[in-house]
Amino acid sequence: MKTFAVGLCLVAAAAPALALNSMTLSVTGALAFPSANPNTTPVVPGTAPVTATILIVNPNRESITLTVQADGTDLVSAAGNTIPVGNVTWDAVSATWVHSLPPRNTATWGADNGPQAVTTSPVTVISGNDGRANTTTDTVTGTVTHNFTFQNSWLYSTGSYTQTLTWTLTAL
Amino acid sequence: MKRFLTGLTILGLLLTTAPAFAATSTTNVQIVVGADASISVPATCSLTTAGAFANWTGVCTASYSVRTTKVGGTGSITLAASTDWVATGGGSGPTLAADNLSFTASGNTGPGTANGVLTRIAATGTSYNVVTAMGANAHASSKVVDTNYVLVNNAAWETDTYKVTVIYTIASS
Repeated sequence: MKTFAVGLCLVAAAAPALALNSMTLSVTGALAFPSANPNTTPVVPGTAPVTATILIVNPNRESITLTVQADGTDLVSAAGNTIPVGNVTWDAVSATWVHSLPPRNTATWGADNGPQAVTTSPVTVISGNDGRANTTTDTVTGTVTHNFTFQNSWLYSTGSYTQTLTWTLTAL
Repeated sequence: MKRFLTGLTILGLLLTTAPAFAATSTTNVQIVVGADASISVPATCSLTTAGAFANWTGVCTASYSVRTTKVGGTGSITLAASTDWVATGGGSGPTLAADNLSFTASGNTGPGTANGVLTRIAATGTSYNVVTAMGANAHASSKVVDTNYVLVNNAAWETDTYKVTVIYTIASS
C-alpha cells in the first residue's frame, strides 16, 4: 500500500509540466462589406479575409478547437434598423501550422468547415492538434483564413450596420 | 473489488489535473448599405394600329428595384429619346418635332407616383418623368411600371418600319 501511494503522487505532480506553456489568439480586428447593388452583387464578399493567428509556446499534443459566434442576433444601424447575423456567412478556406523548430510531433489541422451562416451560438470553425515541441521554448503558429460573404437585399434600409464576432480558441 | 476501486481513483486524479487553455479575440463587422437602384426594359416595344389611321399604341413595362436614403432620400424614373425616329427602309416618316409621340405611366407597383398626365416626347435628350417622389427610406425589389405610348397617325408617312430609341433612367439618393 505504501508503494502505491508514492506512485500516485508522482503522476499527479507531473501532469501540468506536460501541457503547453502559453497560448494566444489574435484575429483580424475589422471586417467590412461595402455597399453594392443587390441585382449585380447579390452576395457581397468581405473586403479582405479574416485571419486567426494562434501562437502556442511549448505545444504538447493538445487538442485545439477554434469557434466563432456573433455577440448579438442582428447587425444594428445607428438608426436602429437591423440585419440578422445569419445573412453573414463564413468559410474557413485554409489552415496551416508552422513550428519554430522541427518538432517531436507535427501539428495537424482537421478539415476546414464552412461555409456556414453566423449564429449566436459558438460553431466550430476547425479542430486540430498542436503537435509536440522538443523544448519548452519552441513554438508553433497556427493560421486559419476565413472568407466572409453577406447576403444582399433591396429590403435593407440604408445605413451602417455593426456587430461583433467573438472567436474562442481552446486547448485541451 | 478493492483493486477496481483503486483504479477509478487514479483515473479521476489524472483527469482533474489535465490543463485546459482558452483564449478569445474579436472581429468588428460593418455592413454599409447605401442608396441604389436598377431598372430594365424590353429591348423592343412595338406600337400597333387598328388601321384607318387610328393612333399607334403600345405598352412597355419597366421592372425596377430601388433603395433610397433613410433620411432625406428620394428616387425617380425618367425617360428620354436618344434618337429621332429612324426608318429602317429609308422611308419618310415621323419625327419627334413634327409628330406627336406621347406617353402616360400607370400600374406602378413600387414607391412613388406614376406620371398619369399625357406627356409628349418632343425632342431628343429631354427627360420626362415616369415615376416621381419615391421618398425617403424606400426599398422595393422587382416592381413594375407601365409606359403607355401613343403616336398620332399621319397619312403622309411612307410605308416602312420606324424606330426611336428611348432610354429609361432610375435615380436614387
